[in-house]
Amino acid sequence: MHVERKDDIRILTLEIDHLDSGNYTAFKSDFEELAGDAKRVVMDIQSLKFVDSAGLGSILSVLRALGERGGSLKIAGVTRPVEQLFTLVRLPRIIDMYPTVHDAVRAYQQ
Amino acid sequence: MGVTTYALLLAFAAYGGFRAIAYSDVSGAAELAVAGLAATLLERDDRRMKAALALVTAGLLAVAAARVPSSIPAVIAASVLAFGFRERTREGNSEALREVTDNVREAFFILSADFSTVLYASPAFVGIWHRTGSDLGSSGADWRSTIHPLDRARMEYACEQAAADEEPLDEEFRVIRPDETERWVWVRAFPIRDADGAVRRNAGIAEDVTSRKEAEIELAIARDQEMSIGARIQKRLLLEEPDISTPGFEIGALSLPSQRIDGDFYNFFSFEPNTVDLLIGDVMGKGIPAALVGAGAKSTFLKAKVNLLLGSRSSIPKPVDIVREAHHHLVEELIGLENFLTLHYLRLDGRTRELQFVDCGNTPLVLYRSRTDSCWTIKGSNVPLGFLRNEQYEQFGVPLDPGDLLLCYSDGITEAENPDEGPFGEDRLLHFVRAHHGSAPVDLVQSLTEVLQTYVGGAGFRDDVTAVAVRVTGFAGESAGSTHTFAATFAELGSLRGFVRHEISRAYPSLSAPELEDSLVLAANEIFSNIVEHGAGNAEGIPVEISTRGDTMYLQMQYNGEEFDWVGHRNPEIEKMEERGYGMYIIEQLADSVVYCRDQRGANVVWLSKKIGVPSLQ
Repeated sequence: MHVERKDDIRILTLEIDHLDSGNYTAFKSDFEELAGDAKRVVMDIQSLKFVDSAGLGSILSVLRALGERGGSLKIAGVTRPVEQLFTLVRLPRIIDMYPTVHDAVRAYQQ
Repeated sequence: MGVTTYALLLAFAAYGGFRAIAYSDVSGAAELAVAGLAATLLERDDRRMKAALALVTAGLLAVAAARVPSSIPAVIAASVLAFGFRERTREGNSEALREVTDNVREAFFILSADFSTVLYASPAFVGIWHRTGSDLGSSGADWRSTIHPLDRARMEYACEQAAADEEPLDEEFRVIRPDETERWVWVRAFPIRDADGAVRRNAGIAEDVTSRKEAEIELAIARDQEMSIGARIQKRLLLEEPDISTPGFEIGALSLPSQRIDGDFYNFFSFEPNTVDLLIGDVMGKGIPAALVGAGAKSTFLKAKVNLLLGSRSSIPKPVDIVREAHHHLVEELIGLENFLTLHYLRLDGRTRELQFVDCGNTPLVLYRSRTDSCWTIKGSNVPLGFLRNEQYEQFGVPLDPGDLLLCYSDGITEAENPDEGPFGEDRLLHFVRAHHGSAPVDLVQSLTEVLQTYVGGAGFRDDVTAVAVRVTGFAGESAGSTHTFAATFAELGSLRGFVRHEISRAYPSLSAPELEDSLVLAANEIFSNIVEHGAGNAEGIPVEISTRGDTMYLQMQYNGEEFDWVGHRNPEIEKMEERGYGMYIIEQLADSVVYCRDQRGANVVWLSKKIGVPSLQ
């Protein structure tokens, strides 16, 4: 995972192709470390080709932590297999999703 | 004798005494004697009062005699009259008793201590026995010779027991009158003891209960007729010989009715040559009502099949659609009748070796699997028909292999009771099936009923015993499928996903449905994760098998661990950001069916099925 800053927006780019029971704890700690105290976060998950229920739980966990300190999360680059899971559990109801990082950043700026 | 009478007699005696003493009146002395003696001699339990009266009367008489010597003869005559009055009163009592005994339906009697001799019998005996008490008592023969030969031994034994135990006798039996007609008599006799507590004789009453007994016998005959009608309904309408000519399967079915019919039924139906549909059910309740509900349900299912077949014209209706259609027609009737039925609707496909089934609260299916030589129970999750108007019945699928054996049974089997051992139970049934899996199904069900008959002994079955066995024919090596064993760690998830994708592309090379593939991969991943998290004792790994049956892909995982509920999970509320609980929901949403079963040794199997829509190459 690597991080970029654009104004006060922190952009975290995942470099793994799956988020499952085997690696979700590493994802959570990486996210918390790189997001720091940012209030506005974009997570680029274009590399992710597979997410399972544990991976989904970890995304909900970081979202909740952000929300508790007044922050928000936007997700960019959802691939087809991942979108299938997100739709199944109705994740778009609580997280804004964008085709690209650029779209997500622009949404924050408007 | 009331206190008022005593007071009057005393007053009369005092007045007579007063006249005799004061006026030397002879008739007064006589009146004193009559009244006083009558009062002292009358039946009365209060001895002190009688003694006081006697003293007063004697004193008055002595004074009267001294004053009026000429009254002595009158006093003697009056005393005689008083004694006469007492005797008349006694006779009056006997008369009253006779009136009672002559006019009540029950006959009074006194029997000897050993019950053999009639010492006294009231006139009502004549009305019952057409013999007088003295006939019975003086004949010299035992009065019990008048008892019907079929009841005599029982009565003699009952008398012996009552005499030995010095207990009351309470029996019903038939007596034969001199004109050879029969009457039913109900006799109750109670021991009469002397001052030492020994039984001296038995007193009792006898009642003619012929009318009631005849009504009871008529009722019993009517019940027998009902049973016989129920048995005929069951045989003709509820049960039938299975069609054993279905390729790919051998079928055996048997039903033994219990003492009262309880509406077990089964039906075999073939939509096409390679498949057989089996409907096996059990109606709540017993007797003709249960048999009629069973017959009605069976015909409703037939109507549902015909309706759906006529409606579609292209393909045969799915089991779940047939159950839903039948449920739609039956549920209001069943709720109105406050009845319900449990059943299984099974479709066996001999070409693909696949079992599709819908469970409606029925007993679990027993599945013997030849490859692992193990016996499993498959419990359903739907409720019985007639419970809920809006129940959404679901269909499940299980792949079968040659040599596998499936047993559907009614709860009359597992609940068959041995007085010492308790119910036959599921464990014994699984052992039996495992031991007899090689038998032809017709022999297997026959042996099972024989084992059960031996188990229950003379007690007989309380519920109908119904069993249908189906064996998959063919050679054991014919099954197509790939198995790979994965270590029980989350690190294996990536390899598992690769295996599933590889097997899909191998079985369906021309499949162009990435979402379908992704669904299977995700569902397999979730099942494996769950097993790694909740299973125990899986150091040897978790075998994962993928096989195809026609256009359906089956994924099977076997593992050790506690029983786990794989179905019926709610969707977690995403708005509340619940972090756990999505796995089971995802599996249920993505799979066509998830079947879980468990064997006696604590091993578990989960089958996931997914219809691919095109036939596999395998």
